[in-house]
Amino acid sequence: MNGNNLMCAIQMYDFYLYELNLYLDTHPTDRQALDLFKKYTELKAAAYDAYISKYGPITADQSSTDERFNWVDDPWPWERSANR
Amino acid sequence: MYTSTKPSGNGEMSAFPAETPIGMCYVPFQQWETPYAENIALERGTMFPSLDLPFCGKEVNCNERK
Repeated sequence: MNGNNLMCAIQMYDFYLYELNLYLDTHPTDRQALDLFKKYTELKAAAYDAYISKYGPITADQSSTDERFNWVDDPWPWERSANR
Repeated sequence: MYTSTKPSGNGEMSAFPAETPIGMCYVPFQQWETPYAENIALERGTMFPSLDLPFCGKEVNCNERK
């Protein structure tokens, strides 16, 4: 999966989890919703890991702190390379 | 207030309260339904088909005098 597809997947999973969250707020014991929430939480984590390992952190807290704060290495949103 | 007449996935919440006095407005309690797939859900702006209510900006049935 290239970056674009991975980012699309992340957006889809984020949205789905948000919808499920809203439903579970009023239906906290709904079995189907709980199962889906668990499934998509895992899918989202996997998509994040795949994206981050290839393209770097999406949010600053995902930055590495081994040698370098690689959060600063990404093309910044206003840079041309970030908008190809 | 809400007693289970129809399973709503929440185990005990039916769509409407058992006692529904007249003269009141009720919003039916949402029931679980088969959701859209995640790509469709993002596109439609909801995962629940019954909440997918786009405003079409024109009359559903044309009331124009022909």
